Amino acid sequence: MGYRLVNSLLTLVLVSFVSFAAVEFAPGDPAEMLLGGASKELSAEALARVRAAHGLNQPMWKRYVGWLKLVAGGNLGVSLRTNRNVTAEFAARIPVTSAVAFGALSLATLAGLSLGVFAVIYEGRAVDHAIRAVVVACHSVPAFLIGLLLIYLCSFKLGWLPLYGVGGGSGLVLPVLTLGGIMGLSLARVVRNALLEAVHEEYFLAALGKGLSYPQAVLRHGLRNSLTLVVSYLGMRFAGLLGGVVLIESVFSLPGMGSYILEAILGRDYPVIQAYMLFFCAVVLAANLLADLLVRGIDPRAAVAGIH
Amino acid sequence: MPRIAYAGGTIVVLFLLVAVLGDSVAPYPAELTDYGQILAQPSLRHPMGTDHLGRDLLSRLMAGTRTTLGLGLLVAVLSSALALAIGALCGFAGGWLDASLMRLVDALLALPGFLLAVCFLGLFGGGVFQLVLYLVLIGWAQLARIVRNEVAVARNLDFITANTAAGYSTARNLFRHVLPAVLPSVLVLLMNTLVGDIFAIVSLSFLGLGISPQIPEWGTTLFDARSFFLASPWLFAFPSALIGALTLGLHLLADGLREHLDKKRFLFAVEEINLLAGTASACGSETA
Amino acid sequence: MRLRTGLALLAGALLLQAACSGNRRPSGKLVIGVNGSLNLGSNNPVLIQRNANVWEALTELDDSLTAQPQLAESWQATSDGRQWRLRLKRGVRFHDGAALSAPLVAANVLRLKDHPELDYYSTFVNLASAAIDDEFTVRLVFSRPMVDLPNKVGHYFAGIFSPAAFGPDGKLGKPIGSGPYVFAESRIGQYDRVTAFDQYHGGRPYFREIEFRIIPDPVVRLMSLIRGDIDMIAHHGGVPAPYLDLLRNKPGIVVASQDVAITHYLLFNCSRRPFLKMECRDAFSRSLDRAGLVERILQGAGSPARDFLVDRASRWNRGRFSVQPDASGQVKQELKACAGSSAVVLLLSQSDLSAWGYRHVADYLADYFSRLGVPVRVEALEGGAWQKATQDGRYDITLYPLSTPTGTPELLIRRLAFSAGMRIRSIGNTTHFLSGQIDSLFTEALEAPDAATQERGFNHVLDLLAKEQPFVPLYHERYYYAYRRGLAGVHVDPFLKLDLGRLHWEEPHR
Repeated sequence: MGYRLVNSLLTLVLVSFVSFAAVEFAPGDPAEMLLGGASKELSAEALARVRAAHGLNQPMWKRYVGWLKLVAGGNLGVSLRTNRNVTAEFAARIPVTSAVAFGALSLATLAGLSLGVFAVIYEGRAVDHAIRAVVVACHSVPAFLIGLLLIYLCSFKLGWLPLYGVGGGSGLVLPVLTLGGIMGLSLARVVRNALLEAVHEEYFLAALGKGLSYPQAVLRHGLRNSLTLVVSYLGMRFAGLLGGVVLIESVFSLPGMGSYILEAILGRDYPVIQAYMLFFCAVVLAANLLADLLVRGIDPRAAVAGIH
Repeated sequence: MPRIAYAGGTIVVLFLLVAVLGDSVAPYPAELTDYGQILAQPSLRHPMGTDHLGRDLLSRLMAGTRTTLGLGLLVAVLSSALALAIGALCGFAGGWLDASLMRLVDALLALPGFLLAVCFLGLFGGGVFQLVLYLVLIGWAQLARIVRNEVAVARNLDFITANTAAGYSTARNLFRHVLPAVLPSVLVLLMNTLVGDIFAIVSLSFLGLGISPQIPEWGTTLFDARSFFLASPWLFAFPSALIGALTLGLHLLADGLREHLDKKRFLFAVEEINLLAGTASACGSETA
Repeated sequence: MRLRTGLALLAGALLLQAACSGNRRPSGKLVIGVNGSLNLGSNNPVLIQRNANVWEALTELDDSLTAQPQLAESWQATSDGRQWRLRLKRGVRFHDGAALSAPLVAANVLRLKDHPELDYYSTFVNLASAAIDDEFTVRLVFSRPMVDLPNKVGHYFAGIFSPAAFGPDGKLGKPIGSGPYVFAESRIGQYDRVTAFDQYHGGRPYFREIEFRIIPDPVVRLMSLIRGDIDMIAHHGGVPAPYLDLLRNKPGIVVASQDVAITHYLLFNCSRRPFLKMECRDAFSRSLDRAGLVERILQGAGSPARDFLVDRASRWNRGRFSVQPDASGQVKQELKACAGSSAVVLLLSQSDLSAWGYRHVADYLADYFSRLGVPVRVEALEGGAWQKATQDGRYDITLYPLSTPTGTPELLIRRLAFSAGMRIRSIGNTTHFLSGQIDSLFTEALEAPDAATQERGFNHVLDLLAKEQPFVPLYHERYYYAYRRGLAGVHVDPFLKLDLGRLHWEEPHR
């Protein structure tokens, strides 16, 4: 565990440097953006003044260290476009994104476990095949296309759900359904495969011998043993999930972190992009550590075997 | 081989044929505009309708197959090759080299690759080279770890140990015996990676961050179609259907192949591959 | 059994629909769908866009881009054009209760003078003093003639604010203006809200509250209007042209258009082949099919450019360009001779691509010229990279949007032809044609002692530019907006400002 922690911290330092350097070597000039970007004519003196005022003329390593200090104190910098604190901007958008991400995770866990169990109980029968077919079908179309179809049907044609925004929570239904549904289906596949291996284990056969019915045995014994797999699988997919959030938020017009990064990119809001990379890498690293801890909590043997 | 592998293989081969033959089988040149036929509905003349410049959508999607599938393959092959090289090196050499490279792999695996690609494409602009570079950079690590584990297992197989004892060189062992032994699993992984890469390319283009707008590509077509979504839904429906069909084919082929190779005991670290099976590995299918 | 389940599901669905589509708003509130926040942040001199109707300026440009009174009632210049006396409107209150007065205007003028980074079109660079003649008269003295001052104090960054609104750094804490609406709240990524200002000098506004709801996707914005979630689509982005027919078929929705003071230019790289020679630029320019571009690709969301500035800027409109292509075989020959065998590189900025629909324009140009035998390669770069590439001359042609904020060609010339302006940043900086001549003519025109001389001067520069063609106008922006039938008093000005103070529901609607 100590190794994991140290590795994560080292990764984070590396990421901080990469995100800082990336923005540093990007072709645009932050001083110009500070003065309103391409929308007007700038004099060389004005640019020089802004550079001095924002410390842009200091050597790169000095600014990097200064930035790290700020970030360590919880200050992610100031947006070039809005002049607002990036931390505040993030704080306004994170609730939306985390609602989508955690909603999707919960739905995925629920759907994945139940479908997986169903598939095993009815192994080789119609239900199993149907689940498999749905899994493959849903995995064959990118989530954003499914999302667009859902908006058109449920929001526009039927008017059941809002077309855009959070809408007091109802606006999150479709995004969560899209992301969580797809993730749940792939999880169902993983659970099914894991359970199918478990049913051939001795302890499982012993449980059947004690008089438990097959479904009971699957639920009581098989499932518990596949939990570690579920957790480590979800941990593994977490980064991908956050990537999916960018597209889903853009499709569903949600004011979260995903649509924010697209705005920042188009507006060349460099401090935001910088902070964004660092923040999300930190979140994903933390999520991976958490998944690790959970796996160990559920199954101490994993600490030895090293599920990763 | 299971039947699904043949079904999937047929689909994939069809798409490959379209990608290779491209222009010569398309009803119209992909760039041909017809201003009398702007945003025309599907008809006999234009089975999939036309776009905002009156270009035949079917022909554009056929040309786009080459771009999308070609780039996807390029990324998948490059990341697999990189993964194979580094994985084999680590698995065979072991020691500090293995430890440090695997630490790098750990670091890369713990990062949100797709988000980083979005940021980098945004900062430095899109283009074929950039797109391939970023996708390979975020895609190789997962494969490399699996290859390394397999190589490490294969290396300790009895006959390799015996070979070493008999005085055969390390290189000979690696290339003659160990690598061929891990190739089947790399093949399965490559196909899963390919799906993820295609999804990633399409998604990035859909966000307007992909390759040049002039090159026909499925995601770019979708990006353009987004502004005609309500009035001309076919512009959206057909590219989506094609993406679905190709991915379905790849999934079926990968699944079938995996089952077949698994039965024949060609795969070592089956558990890890199972974890990836049915889901796109490199970027995650949730990505798209 | 199956029937009962079906019925229950149906009932549930209907209930849900009833609950969700309850879009009857209180009649005092209007919701306008916009593509992004109107809140520009405090780095911007006015903090909130002019469209919010929160602040006003001294003057306002009317439909013919001529200055009309807003906060200034009348104005008068001395014969040398160096001194301006502005008489202010009486009885104007700001949102914090402050009254419009000469000292208040002087404080605003000095704010921009002291903080040139907030003075977007360099209006007050040459200001010598701002004197207070009486409570409602302010006298602005410039160190050089400034004959078009009334035009320069009415643009979209020229707001007049209560002195309580800005601090010593000149930045606004809150946009306390004198407009019909008071800025209430911005919710990041969701909406900006303004509320009625009952002491507004133009009369009490009808709507108690107006919400600018942020819906970035134009199609979703459209669906929201059709479904009745919003009352109006206005501001940048407007209604995309492909949907005009669809909307016109909806009886409950009105579609209208306005020609706005924005022109899209095609810029040539004059520092390298193929557009090094004037003859080649001319051949390319003459073969442009402006009318075809507007009709086929923009589907009416624009008008073909006959001159550098929009048609309504009639003082500068001489019809210097043709909207029809020169179809003679000769121009084709010339074009081919110039271009040789290599492709012409059309370089675009990623941000313009998404903001202005340049993607389709580029596609069209590429196709059009390849039919003429000159292949065009379209390349898109990230905004900063595009700027570098254009400055370094790594392009052949590019597209560039520019508005006419003061109703004169000054910004256009300064940005694209004046060498001092170009050296700093502009894309035109590779065009060293005639720069000495244009520079001196431009400076002369700027310092002209009267409007007629200035008009002649600017027109002279435009004539030269039309002959040398380092850049040519392609089309002017036309903008479509839509609203629910029953909304009255809808007026959008050439700078996209919707006059919120005059909006109301027609009587039967209530």
